Amino acid sequence: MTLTSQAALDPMLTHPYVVREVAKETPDTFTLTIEPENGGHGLAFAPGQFSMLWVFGVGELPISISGDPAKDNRLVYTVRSVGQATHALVSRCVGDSVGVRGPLGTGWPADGARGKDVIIVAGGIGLAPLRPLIYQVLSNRKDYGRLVILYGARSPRELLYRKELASWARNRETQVLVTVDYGGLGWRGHVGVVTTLFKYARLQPAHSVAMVCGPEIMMRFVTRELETHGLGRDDIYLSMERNMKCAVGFCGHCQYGPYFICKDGPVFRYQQIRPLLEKYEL
Amino acid sequence: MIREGKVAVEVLAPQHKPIIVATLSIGELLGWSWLLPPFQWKFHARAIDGVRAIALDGKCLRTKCEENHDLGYEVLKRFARIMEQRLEATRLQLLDVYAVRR
Repeated sequence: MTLTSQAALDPMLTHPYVVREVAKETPDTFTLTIEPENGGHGLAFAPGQFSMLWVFGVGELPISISGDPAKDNRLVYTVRSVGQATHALVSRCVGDSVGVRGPLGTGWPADGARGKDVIIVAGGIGLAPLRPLIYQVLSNRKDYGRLVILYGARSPRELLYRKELASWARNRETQVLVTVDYGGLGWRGHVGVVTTLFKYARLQPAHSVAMVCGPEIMMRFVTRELETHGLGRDDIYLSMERNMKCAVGFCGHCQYGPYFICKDGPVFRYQQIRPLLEKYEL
Repeated sequence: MIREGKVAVEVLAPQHKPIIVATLSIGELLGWSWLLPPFQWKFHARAIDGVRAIALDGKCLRTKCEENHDLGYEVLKRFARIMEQRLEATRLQLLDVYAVRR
């Protein structure tokens, strides 16, 4: 039995993995590459899905998969160190063990987007869950229309995957626009929030699907901008985030209105959750 | 009005390095200080690369707007739209949405 089918049978089962690489992306964000402890194939995943990563002795936390779905012998996660568990995770050394549960949750509608333009709007670490989708579109270029990536970060030093952003922009039919909220004198790129990039994007709203991930406030403004540009609510997808515990819809920690983010999400159609986005209590 | 190139709008403060708060590019308008009293610039603007722009005589345009209120209303409507967009972007910027919440 492969790891994939085992995980499908029992999402509560933790698989042992070994850290193969830890790369620093920004001062507080790191990318971990892990492989199954016993070698062989890892867990196949769909772009947008997440895993529960167990840091032994510290805790378990949900992290979106940020690697290439075509490379199933390794899993890649980009993690921002913001608390005790994430700090422990990014402090793992090569050769250390971590437990992996999943892949879990819904993914981006990569198949539904075939034949259409793909608009990706990411803010901060929100680019990480979208990176697998970018890999998939770029490695199946003929199946998709134009790829437009709009990415915003706080400052130039907090931009993720800088080399990859430059290499993605060199692909045919691909437009990559990057902005930062505040720039220093050395920054020659765009300064302004991510919504200010829309005026430079070459969009064909009637033939496009948009995938958005970032802070919720940013996503609210972005969805409004996408609607203003003519995208339908059914063609906009958002990745949501809440505190998760069981990750399979039992515990209710990540309840979001009538949904559980872990089981019904994290990727939702905008039309599905639009009324919830403006509810203060949620 | 910028026809080519990019312009950085900067804030300068004593003992601080200049901070770029916005970048303007092709088709965008730089500056409306000429429109409202006290008619003084509040920010610095720096060409990031080769910039071609159309500059208008603010005092002359203001006089024409006073003389022809149809023109004045049209000019104000267009500038108000841009101001509204910049205000919204600035509010979002001030929220510092990418900061770590502890």
